[in-house]
Amino acid sequence: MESYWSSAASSTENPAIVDVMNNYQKIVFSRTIQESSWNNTNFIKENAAENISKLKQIHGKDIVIFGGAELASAFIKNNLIDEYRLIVNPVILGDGKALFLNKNEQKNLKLVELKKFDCANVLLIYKPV
Amino acid sequence: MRKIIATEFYTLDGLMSDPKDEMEWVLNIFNEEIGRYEDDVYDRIDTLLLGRITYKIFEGYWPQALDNPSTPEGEIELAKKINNADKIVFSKTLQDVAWKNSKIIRQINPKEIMKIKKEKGKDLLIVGSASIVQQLTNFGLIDEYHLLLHPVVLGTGKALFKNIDNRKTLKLTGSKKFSNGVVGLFYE
Repeated sequence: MESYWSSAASSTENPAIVDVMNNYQKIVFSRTIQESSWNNTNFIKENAAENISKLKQIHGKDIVIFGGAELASAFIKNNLIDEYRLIVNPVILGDGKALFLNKNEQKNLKLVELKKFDCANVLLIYKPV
Repeated sequence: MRKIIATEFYTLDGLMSDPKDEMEWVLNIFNEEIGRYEDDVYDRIDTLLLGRITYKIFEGYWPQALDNPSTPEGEIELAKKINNADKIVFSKTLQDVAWKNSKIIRQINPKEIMKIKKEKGKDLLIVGSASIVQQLTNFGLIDEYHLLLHPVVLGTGKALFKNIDNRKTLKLTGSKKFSNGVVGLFYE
């Protein structure tokens, strides 16, 4: 994301969201990366759950997690996610990286919305029960 | 030609049963609307294709369901349909079948399956039976996937789709939001 959204190509290919991507605050969870040339990027090295809990209390708009099954699973484990937006692609992979990584931990969700796109993707919005 | 339909109840993490082959997460929220979906799909078919585990669960339940006073009213018609349907169970180990209209086929042979599809009759239905879904998907023999996505993450259990030889892109033909939070995704 850093290299793409900082590049000139992003302005021509995705003019609608390039400013959003560059101007919004980014938080990177990493034990190894500590700096970035991307505008408005900050780092959290440890205590991710605790730091996010604090961040949620601060006045501001909502926060979105992009990709990253490991990070998402850590948030799920700590009940930090208020809304799940899952996009089901019409593809059977059979193998690959799973989205939900927490074993032996059943979680019930509440379906809020279903939206079908022309491209055959289905967006499902869930909230914790 | 007869179609093969796979109807699969599964979870947000892509599982179709827990490690004990139980599906409490389905029973917990099962409602009439899901029952109606089942009634409709069973109206289309006259044959069930099952793996050994699903077969044994069905054999332990449906033959007695009609005589069992605790069988819910809404299940009576379904019980008749399931008992009267032909059942083909694919298993290398199962010794014999006690349920009426049932027979064992030892190995999945795509030519044999094609022959069955070309016979006269109504459509064929796979229920659960992940290993059968996987093998028939690899042979490209499934015509419709009815995926009933339940609003639960199990964490551990049996995957619906694994051992798939080639990535498969399907065509979305419909979707349905059930009142109990289940999403029906219909693919061809």
